[in-house]
Amino acid sequence: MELKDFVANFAEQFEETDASEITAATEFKKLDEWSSLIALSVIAMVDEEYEVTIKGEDIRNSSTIEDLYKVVLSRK
Amino acid sequence: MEENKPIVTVEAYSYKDFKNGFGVANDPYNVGEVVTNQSRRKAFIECPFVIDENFVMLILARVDGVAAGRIMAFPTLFKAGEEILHSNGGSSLLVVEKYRRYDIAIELLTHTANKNRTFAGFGADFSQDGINVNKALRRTIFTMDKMMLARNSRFVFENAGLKGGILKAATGIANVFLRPLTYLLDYRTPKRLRQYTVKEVDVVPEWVDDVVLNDGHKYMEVHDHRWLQWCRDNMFNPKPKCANHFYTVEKDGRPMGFFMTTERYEGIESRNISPMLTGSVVEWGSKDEKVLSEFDLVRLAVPTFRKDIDMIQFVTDDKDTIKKAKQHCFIQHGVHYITFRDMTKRFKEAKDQRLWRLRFGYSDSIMN
Repeated sequence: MELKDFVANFAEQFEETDASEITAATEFKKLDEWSSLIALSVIAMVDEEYEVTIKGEDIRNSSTIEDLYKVVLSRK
Repeated sequence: MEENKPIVTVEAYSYKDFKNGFGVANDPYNVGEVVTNQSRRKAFIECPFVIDENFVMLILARVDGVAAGRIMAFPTLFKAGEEILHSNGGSSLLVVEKYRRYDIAIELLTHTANKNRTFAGFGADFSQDGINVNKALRRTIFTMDKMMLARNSRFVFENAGLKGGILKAATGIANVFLRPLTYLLDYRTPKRLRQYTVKEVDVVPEWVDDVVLNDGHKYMEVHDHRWLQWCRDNMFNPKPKCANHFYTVEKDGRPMGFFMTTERYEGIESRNISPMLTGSVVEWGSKDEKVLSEFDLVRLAVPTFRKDIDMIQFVTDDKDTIKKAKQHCFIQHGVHYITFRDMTKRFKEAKDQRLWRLRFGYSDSIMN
């Protein structure tokens, strides 16, 4: 499970934000497009692509995409 | 000054808790009314598919200790080919408006309390917001056309913005023209259908299981006689004139099919349409659809509704049924959504709607 692939999969959940703006260090909750719907789609993406369950608390406790990646990695 | 981060907590209540009864403390917004509402509590306790008393039926989210949102679940069965798997139906999602910015819905929709007990999930009767949530969660979404037959033109004029005396006058005049149609559909059953006897019954017969489970579709939420009885006997919010009915259709004393109907008040706030008494055909089955088709059963259902019903509706994804319905003055008026989640990830074909037995009455729709 590579970080760069995770970032790419994460970026795909956004429709209006340019993928180039989204990096491992991005504080994703500060993105203009960020919403509960995108949070749900990230949770669904992680479940489908990585077969890992994450919850709202995991999203709340993560600041950057890399933070969330580490949570997912720890559960694989 | 930085705002203190709210503390979001989640509580899970099981079937056992429901049976024993419990109250929801610190609940100024009445989130826990699903528990104190006796009709709803009875419905959940009577669910025929509870095999584990620890099945979680209510997930309650709190923000700084205040009840802020909830979602309910009840056990159902999912038939996939020859397998029957335990699944769950979702119900009654609510997040108090002032707490929506804390992403409570995420907590509620992604709870895993029943993860080790169920293999699939169903939902039905969603608003557009609800469907957007299901899309974000990558759930399979099925759509069926809603077909409607007006018995009272009031809602048409309300939708156009008429009020007061003008609304009353327009409705009165238009209804005069609706009456012959109502008469034809209520009292002039086609000759071919007069060979059938339609009977309302209080006890759903077991023969419906064969009709439901062997209808030729590979996938379905199992609506056997136990499930149908449960839905017939329960309503979340009973009101005058609201009812659930189950009918058998026989020919020469032999069962040929069945249908189930509900009568409810439904309004559309966004269009200023006040609640209408709406009759719905929510379930149906036929031993041989070439002989007794879906629309035949709808046609047999029409005269069974209360005479003061404002509108009759059913849903279908069958083009032939839609065509016949339009020939009988039904009009298409929206879409009904059913969602499905395959937690096993084994049933790749289950995304194909053509393989499904789908009905208006999925999940908790009949009791709602």
